[in-house]
Amino acid sequence: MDSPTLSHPWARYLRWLAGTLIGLLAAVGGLNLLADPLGVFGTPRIPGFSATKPYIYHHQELARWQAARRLCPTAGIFGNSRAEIGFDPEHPVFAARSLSAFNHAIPGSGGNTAVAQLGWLQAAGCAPKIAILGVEFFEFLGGPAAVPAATQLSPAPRPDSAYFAEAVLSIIGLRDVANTIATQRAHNPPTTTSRGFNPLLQAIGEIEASGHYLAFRQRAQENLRMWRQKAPRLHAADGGITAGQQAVETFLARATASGATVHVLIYPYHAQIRLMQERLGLGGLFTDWKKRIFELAARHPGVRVWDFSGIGPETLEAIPPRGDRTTSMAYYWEAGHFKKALGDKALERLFGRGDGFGIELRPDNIDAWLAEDRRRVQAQLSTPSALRDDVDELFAQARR
Amino acid sequence: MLFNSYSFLLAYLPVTLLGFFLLGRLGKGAGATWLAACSLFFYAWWDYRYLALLLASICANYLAGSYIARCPGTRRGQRMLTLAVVANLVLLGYYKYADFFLGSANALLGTDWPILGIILPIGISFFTFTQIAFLADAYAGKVTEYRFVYYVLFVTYFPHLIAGPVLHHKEMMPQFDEDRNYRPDAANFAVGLTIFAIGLAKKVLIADSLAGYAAPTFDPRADAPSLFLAWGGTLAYTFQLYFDFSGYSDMAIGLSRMFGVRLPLNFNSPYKARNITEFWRRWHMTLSRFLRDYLYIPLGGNRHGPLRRHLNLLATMVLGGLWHGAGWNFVIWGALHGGFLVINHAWQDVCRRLPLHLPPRAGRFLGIALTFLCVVFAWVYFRAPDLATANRVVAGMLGQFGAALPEPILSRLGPLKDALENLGVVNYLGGGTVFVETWLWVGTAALLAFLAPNTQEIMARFEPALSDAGQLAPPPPTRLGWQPRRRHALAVGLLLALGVLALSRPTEFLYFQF
Repeated sequence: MDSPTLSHPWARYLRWLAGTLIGLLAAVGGLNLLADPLGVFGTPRIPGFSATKPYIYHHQELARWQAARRLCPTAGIFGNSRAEIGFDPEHPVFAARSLSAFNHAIPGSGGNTAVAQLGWLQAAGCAPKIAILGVEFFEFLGGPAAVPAATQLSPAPRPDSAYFAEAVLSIIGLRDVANTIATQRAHNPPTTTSRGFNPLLQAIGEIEASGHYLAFRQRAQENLRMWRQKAPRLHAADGGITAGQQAVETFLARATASGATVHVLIYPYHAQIRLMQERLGLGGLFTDWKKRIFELAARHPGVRVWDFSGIGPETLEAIPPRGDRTTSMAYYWEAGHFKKALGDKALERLFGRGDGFGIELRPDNIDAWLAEDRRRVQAQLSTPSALRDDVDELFAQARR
Repeated sequence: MLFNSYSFLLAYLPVTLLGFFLLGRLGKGAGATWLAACSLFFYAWWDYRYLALLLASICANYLAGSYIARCPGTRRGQRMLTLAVVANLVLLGYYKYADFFLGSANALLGTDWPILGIILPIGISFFTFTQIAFLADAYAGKVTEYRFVYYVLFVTYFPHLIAGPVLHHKEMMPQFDEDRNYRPDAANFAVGLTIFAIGLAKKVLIADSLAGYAAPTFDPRADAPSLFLAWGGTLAYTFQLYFDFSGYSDMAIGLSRMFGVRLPLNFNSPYKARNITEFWRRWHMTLSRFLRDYLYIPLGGNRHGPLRRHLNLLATMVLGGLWHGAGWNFVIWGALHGGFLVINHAWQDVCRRLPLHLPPRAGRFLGIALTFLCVVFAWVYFRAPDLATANRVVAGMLGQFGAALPEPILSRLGPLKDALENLGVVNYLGGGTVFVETWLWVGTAALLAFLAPNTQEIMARFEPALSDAGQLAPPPPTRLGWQPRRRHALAVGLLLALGVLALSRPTEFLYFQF
């Protein structure tokens, strides 16, 4: 064994080790602050280095909030991944009304996130004049006992010590920096615009490689498994209202109290989803849910409800057959996630420029529309078509 | 407090080191008392409710050990030894096995005895075994009188308290009594920090990365796994456990070295073992040593013929399995290893009589491969939360749920696709990225486990750990051997930086549950 009395080599070794450790940690932290992958610090965007931000899956609430806080938008889009991917806040309909819009939607989030986001905006003096709230049927379905609505606003997220530990001085932070640099030169990288819109550019390559069919099929299989696990009811386990419903009520109450106009929007699910719901015996429940959304909205002035989920040319867009990797669908990535083109049509409809896609639910048309809507779905199921065959095959596969 | 946490690295460790060396100037007693107090604080951080239990166990065993040591080998000593060992086992049995026995009795007898819902005191398996060994050695006349504070430190010493290595008093007490260990030493810091950095990297960079690929396979709610998924998940766990536990052991050895104290070697590249006997000389070496010295040999070892030896092996391994956890899965795991050992001994007896032998390299390769397969197979029962899940995973590994590859992978295999499809391999949608990542991680971990030198080989020039004469010889130095040089400081600094960068969400070590 080398003699431990030779202190110089040991001390020098320890100095170099400590220097390397501290230097590397400082470099990682400094790079993260400079590249600011999540846009949290508001560091100036450097062309070729950090101008385009990558799409990052962690700390999304914080990232969205910091970007929104800086913009202080006058119109807001709230919801889950469907809204995040489908609605572009830079659509001209907003500018035409002198509105500055921001997409607050976060994948996998529920109504409570929208409530919190709205509260933070209001507290910061950035209450939206127009709020577009995407509502999700499956958030209401088979819910556990509802927790009483929080009376106090949760504090807005900020880059605190936990954030620094998790996303700056961390492997994740280092990976995000590398991701940011790579994004600048990547072809169709996953990214988020400065207004929160996710154009899902990376899906272009995936669709080119595998085709829409597989994307539809994979998501349909996942949905089927998930829906089957949910209890087929709109009320909570204890008979009360679900957390999803409670969140929508709270959102509407708080938004309208500050004078906002709220557009509650039922997403334009592809007809495949509607047919699957009907096959699962959830068709009636879906109709009941729409009615309930309408009734909730009717309690508040300045709330309009739009249903884009009906069977129509857009939602019936043909799914390219298996093996077709060249056809690009105009409106859908897969059944649950629509493209900006369809989102644009929905936004135009909301702002009075539409061509008949979607319907506004009013007291004078709600019952007739819901009956007609259900009839159309059932008609699709009773008429031979590629879509019906596809749904049949899905259920047969699931039974195996 | 986890070794892989900011609170440990930035607060606990510096304060403990500083206090130890400052108080060490006043005398060994002050330094040792400080270290023992810090170790008790470390334990209380986990669960202060059981601190009294730990202290009571230490006091009772010290008193019993001192009594036995005054009359070794006598009937009086034997009576006290029996009483003390039974008391330790009753304590362990109550906390660790009461619910298991009640549940099993209810299932077998149809009774309805209520489950007690006892929370397992962390580290109880380790501190109980450590002290039983102390008592047995006291009876054998191997215990020299030491100060109580050294005994407290021997049991509670924080680097080993929660998950080992299982220490032996004769290798620890003299070190606590060593004057020079109470003075800071740059060599000890450099060696200790380097071993700690390697252990931290094993844990947070490799084991924790593998965890996410192993867990879904062993989820009791998961679908029946097809061939590649079952193997991917099981292999991910195989390497996760190795890098997790050997990483923990390296961290413990490194931490202890900073205090000038060498801990015994606990891992020596176990997956490189050529047979299952060698595996147990390389895996959790201090537990194997304990089971050998205090269970297998007292049961008779190999002194009463082959049949008795085989029975002793089986009994030792089943009890070793049960030591890991109160469940039938652990019993099966232990029984499997006992069975492997019996077969291995029988096979070696046959081999000695055979006139033909395989070429050494082929024999070595086959031995390593077969041993590894046996170990992987047994890990399924070790990891699965229940028997049904374990059996399902094993069935998947045997291909009973078919073989499937993600569609994007299968479709890109060209001519191989047709060949695989002819063999019955089908495709499935989704999960392509996870599939590829699983096998990339498994491949990387396998390369490191089978081909890279281990920590002891890297650090061999500086005697990183104590080695036991009954185990395998300590590994020789490797070409990648560490020296206190600048380039090694840069490499270890990089490793430590990556380890620290991965600390944001610390995860427990797998062996903490035992």
